[in-house]
Amino acid sequence: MKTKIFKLLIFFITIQFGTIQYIYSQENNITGKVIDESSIPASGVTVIIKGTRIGVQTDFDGNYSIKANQGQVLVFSYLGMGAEERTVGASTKIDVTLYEDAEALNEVVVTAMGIERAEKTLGYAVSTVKSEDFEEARETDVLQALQGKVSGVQITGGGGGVGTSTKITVRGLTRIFGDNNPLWVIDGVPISDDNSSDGGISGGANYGNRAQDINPDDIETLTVLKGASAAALYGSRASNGVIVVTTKKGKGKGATITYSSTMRFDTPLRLPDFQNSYGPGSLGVYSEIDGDNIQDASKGWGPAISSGTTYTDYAGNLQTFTSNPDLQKDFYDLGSTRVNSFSISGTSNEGKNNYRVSTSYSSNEGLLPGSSLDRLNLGLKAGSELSDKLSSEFSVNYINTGIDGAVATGANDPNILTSIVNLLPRVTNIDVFKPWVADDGVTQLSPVDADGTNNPYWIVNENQRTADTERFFGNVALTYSPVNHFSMLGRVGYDTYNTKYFRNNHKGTIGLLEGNYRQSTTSRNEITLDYIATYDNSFEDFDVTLRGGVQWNQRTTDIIGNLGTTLTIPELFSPGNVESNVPFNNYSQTRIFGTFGDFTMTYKKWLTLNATARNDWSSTLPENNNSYFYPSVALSFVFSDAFNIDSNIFSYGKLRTNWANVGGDTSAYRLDYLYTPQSSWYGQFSTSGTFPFGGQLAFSGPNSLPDAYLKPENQLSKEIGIELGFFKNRFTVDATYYKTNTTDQIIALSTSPSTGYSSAWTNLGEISNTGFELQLGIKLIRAKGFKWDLNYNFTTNETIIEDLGDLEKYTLASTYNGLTVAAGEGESIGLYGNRFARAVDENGNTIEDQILVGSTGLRYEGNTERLGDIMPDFTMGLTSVFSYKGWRLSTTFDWKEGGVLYSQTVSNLRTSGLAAETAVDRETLFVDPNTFVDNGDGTYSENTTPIPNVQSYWTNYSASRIHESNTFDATYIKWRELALSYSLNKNQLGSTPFKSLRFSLQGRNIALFNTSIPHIDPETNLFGSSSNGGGIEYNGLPSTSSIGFGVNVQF
Amino acid sequence: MKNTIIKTKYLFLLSLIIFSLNGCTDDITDINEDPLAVTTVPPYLLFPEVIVNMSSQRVIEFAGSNMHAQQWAGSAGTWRSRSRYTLGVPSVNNAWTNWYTTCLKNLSLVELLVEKDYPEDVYITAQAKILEGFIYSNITQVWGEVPFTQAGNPTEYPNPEFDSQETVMEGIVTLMDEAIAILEQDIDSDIVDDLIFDGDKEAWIRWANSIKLKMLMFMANIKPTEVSDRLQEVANSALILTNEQEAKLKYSSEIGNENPKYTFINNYWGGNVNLWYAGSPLVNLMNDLDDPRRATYFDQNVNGVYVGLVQGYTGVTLTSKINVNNILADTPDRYSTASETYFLLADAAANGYISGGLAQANTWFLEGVTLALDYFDGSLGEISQTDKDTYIASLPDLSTLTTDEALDYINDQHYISLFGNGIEAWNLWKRTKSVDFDIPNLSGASDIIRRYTYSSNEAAANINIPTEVTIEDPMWFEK
Repeated sequence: MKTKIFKLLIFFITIQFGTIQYIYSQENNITGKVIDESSIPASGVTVIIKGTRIGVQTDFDGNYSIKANQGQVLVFSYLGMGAEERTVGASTKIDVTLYEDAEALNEVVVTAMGIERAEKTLGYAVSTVKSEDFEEARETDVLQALQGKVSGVQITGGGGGVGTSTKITVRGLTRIFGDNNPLWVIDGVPISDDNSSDGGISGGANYGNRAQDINPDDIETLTVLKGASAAALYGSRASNGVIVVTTKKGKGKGATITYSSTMRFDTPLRLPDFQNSYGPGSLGVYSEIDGDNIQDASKGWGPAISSGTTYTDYAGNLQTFTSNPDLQKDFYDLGSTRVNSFSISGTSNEGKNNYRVSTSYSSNEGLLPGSSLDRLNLGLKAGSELSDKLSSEFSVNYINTGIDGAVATGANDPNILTSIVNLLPRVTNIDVFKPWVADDGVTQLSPVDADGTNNPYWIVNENQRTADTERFFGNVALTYSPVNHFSMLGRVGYDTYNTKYFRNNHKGTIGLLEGNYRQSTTSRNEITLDYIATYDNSFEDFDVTLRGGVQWNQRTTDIIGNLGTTLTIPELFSPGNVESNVPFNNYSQTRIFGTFGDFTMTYKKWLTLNATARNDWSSTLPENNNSYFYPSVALSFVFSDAFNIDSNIFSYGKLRTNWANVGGDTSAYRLDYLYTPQSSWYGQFSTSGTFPFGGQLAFSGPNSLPDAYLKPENQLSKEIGIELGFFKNRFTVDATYYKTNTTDQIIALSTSPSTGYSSAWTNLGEISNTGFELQLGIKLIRAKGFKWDLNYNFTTNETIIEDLGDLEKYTLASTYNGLTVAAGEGESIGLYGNRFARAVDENGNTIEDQILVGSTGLRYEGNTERLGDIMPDFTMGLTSVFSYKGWRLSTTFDWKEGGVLYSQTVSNLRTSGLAAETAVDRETLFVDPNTFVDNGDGTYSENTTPIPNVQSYWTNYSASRIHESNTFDATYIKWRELALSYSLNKNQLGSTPFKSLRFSLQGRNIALFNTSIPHIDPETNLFGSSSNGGGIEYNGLPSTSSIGFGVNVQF
Repeated sequence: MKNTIIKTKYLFLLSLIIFSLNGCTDDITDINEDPLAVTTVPPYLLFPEVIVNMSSQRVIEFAGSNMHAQQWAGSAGTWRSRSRYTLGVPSVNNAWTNWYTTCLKNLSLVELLVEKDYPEDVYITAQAKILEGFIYSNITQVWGEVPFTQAGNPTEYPNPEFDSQETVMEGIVTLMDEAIAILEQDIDSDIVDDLIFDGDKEAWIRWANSIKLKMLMFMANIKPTEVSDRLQEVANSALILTNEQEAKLKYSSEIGNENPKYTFINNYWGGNVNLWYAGSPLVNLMNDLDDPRRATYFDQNVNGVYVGLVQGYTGVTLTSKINVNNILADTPDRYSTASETYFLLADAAANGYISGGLAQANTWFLEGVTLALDYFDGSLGEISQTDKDTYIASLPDLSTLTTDEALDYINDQHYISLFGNGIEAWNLWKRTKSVDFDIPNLSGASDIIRRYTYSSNEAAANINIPTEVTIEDPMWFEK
């Protein structure tokens, strides 16, 4: 398959570059300078002779030179500026000032199926981010670069660790089961954004999501199609929104070579606030004579460090208590991020052929010793007008990503690192863990305890977790216009990747002393074929576009792997070198076939009606119920044009509204009742064994009860919005209100295990999302070369579970100790966990402010209840850009308000007596304020019993089984990015070969404000990007803050 | 002319699209068959999954039940948590889910598949019923009131009611009766690929009767008169009476087929015992009796004696560890033993539930002790004949004692014999309370643990789950 495609590519490359021609001209040489309203030279302005294809661009100083005849008209245009026309007269010098267009919103937006439409005619909200926004403070992860810049989306990073996933949801969760990730479409072709993780919450490592493969430097525009109406042409894959990426293509005359380099250093954004005054032990005592030892002792409840207590350290040496306040800092390395990009782009043959080749190499060294991410991106995009009737475009992208030293998170695995590093006694010198391995190569030195806690250096040095991905995606499109007003597009898109996962527990790892390794390969490919016919014509006041097309999409995933246990030769990871092998494999293939039509009619450029229809057939649904129809209608009304309103104050006004109905299918093989051969049996504490057992094979029925009568999901969406421009569009407002209702979701309903099944497939329920989005653009200052722009966006979305059938509560994700992400009917999605026991009144209702204590004066565990919403009340982002001459200072903040977060790290730090707040006063035995005692007869009296000791208070108060006390308001403000750049002007560049040269200082995730959660960065997600879980932190690695510099040069 | 050509072209194109459209929608549906699974299997192929997973829960997931039985004590980490009654939701959820879904669900599928595809092979159905009864006996011993009558039927009972322990135990007895009735038919049905008894039909009958005996003894604690006839009947039936006849899952030293406790100590402690210490009540009892099995069960402490740890405490300098010979790769999971049969019979006779009185009780008692001592013959923990003789000689003739004294001896010996079988030992204590247990240090508990809290998975999905259940709530069968 690959070689065939490769040959095809060679063919296309040949035809793209084979048709270069030269232009001849003999007219007068017209020169001039183009400036903008703040007298800044406008570079990159297209100057074209009207009615021809002949054109040039202004250089960095706004100068241009073009050969034209008298009487010809020069058109000066630039994106976002009003075009100006000048007739060539006697003078050979024509200077022009361009103004920001009163109708700057006249931009072209790439919409579903790669269809380009004028933003003005759109009946739905879209958010577009342009290439500049990715260049400011370059981020290797395209989603992270969107933070704070787009309304209607929620972006959550996965915390620290190289290459960890970033989750994006568009307009809230529309599904309570299955993923809510938007569909990614690059140059018209869907690609995979699967989360790449290896293992679940039990020590799984997160290797990121596949959208991170996209090179941000290749992006020309990124458009978020938020509503179903915008995405309706994608049919059953549209319900989560669509992110449409258009990659850069060659433009301008001749060739441009661009090189940019960024180097940044990463440090933990926030480390826990530790106490540094108490050593290990219990109740203030640590005595080895009485049987205490450092391995079994509590970590921070011992005597004061200043007491001079002696202890035997992890390496077996006698030591005196000494504080090591920088214990954690010493463990983490200084991280770094380097991005080097190089591209050549240009056009030939009067712009009939364009090409762009790009190479980018990113390398990221993580905070964890030995962790790194290296990524190579190669891109090639070219287009050619082969004849008047035929044009072609193609792009190929090759990505090679290697992640080493990914970190295990969650619990129940010997490799969960953060809890080990955080939970060392404060008297520990991190160097006690070096060396970590004895001369025999397999005996671990200085383990932390015998209950499965390994030497942290052993974990990072001996136990590898790697993922290597090789990916290829691209497309070839041919457009044929046999007659005027009619064209046909044929497009083939292909996306394939192979990820090789490897992880091992080295012989000598406590918890797996015999060692094991797990190796697997995930191969996924997706083929999309599109045929689209377009009829496009104008009849007097009407512009009409009619499209019809078919799409065929096939996705195949194949996972093959092996778990080998008990290694003979320690570092030989081969099935022949282990005593037991458990091979596993997994395969799925799904197809969707769709036919669609799209009708757009614009009246007098100010009223546009767009109607689409699509019918899908999905392979995943029952044969008699696998065809479904999705219509949408959108209306755009530019009332400022309709009523000719254009004053200095009010410049632009548009109303838009739409309605759409889309839906969704499910995954493969969910209809039949299947028996599956079993290769292993489960045992707690990594004691699982294998089949055959005693020579016998094993089969098992399904854990999820299938449903042969599943029907497609349905999503109904309505949206209304307004766009306003004031003061010549120096102040723009874009506001949207929407409501979506998703019904008949296909979910694996968690069932009572006593029914014999953990879950059952069914169509269930209704979930609604109601939201409001606002984007403001303010061009605050335009004076004497000084510019100040502000962009603000605000998003609020409320997800409500409207209907759960007979269910009381639906669990979306669960972790340990009964902590779950769930929702009841009429509620939003929340975090549920155990609270403190509280008094109840005579009606059995909980009295919220009467927390109960037991006879010891300590609080105890009550019922499992709702702890709060996991979704924020609102998010907003603010970007400010100042520029003056060559200087530019841009910065972005984002604010997430509300929602709750459970932190296991906080629980660990407090119960172990290591958090600073646990060391404030260990002597005073206070009475827990405002607590009550159950008298046993339905009455309660105020508690007067003081706590037995501070240790018991904290170990009890913050115990992980009581989730309430470890759950915090998740609000935060992040100073997301800051970039100061200086571009040299022509004089400064002088005779250097550079067309442009820009230096920048940049920082990302610079600071965290306004957060009430202690010790950790609240932006974290245990579950990775493919789960709907959220609101839970479980031994995550600290996130990073980075500062560095960059250079960008063009030849 | 040109127009016609264009028109023809379009017509051709249109037909091409319609043609491919047909083709595309046709091939859509037939790819939705999982190439890695099948829609039916011979029913006996489901047994290994059931048996091995069921035992894995008993052996490692519930390793903490040895602490609840106070025969073992955890000195640190997870194991001290178990000693202090911190159960951890995984252990509560895993076993519940595994037993109900992996085990019981597959057993009901066995019966369905027999009915559908193998109607002759009814012995397979009997096997399934016995295993089902045994699994329920484990479930109810851990959780008390559990779904039984409405379990395993998602369409009719999406929220199964929790049955009383009495109902569950009666139900288990009925399942045994049904199984025995099938197995006693002389028909042409094979028991193949039998991991427990190598296809021995009589052995399955004996096991069914032994399970029945045990359930009836739990019930007799509360309603002796109602069950005494049935107890008498089962006492006269074929029971597991020799060590060779015991029901167990044989682990082996074959990689992947080892006892999970062995895998655990191998993974964590290099094949040694580290955090598992002798529980104080058991050691004290055995010290009083000068029991020769102490060397089999425990290591001597540094002073050459056997000292147990009180649950929840940490100072272990002078405490005896569990002897690693009890945790070998091929240490079996013992479901129902011969000594258990005799102790139960002795108990029944001493209590007067069945005939024979204390004299008969004494005979059975001595059989039980002998079998318990003989169990280690040929193993690393073998007890010398002299020690056995001395020990047995040291035991009083029960017929010379009061009923209570006799019962005390029977139950103490029964308790000692269940070493390593945490669930059985813990429930024996609940039924008889023959040994004084300690409330663990720093456990926050005010009584001995009686049951596990319900699975949070079940709680999240089943509206009928009982609330306000605490781990200290006694079982129905307790006096």
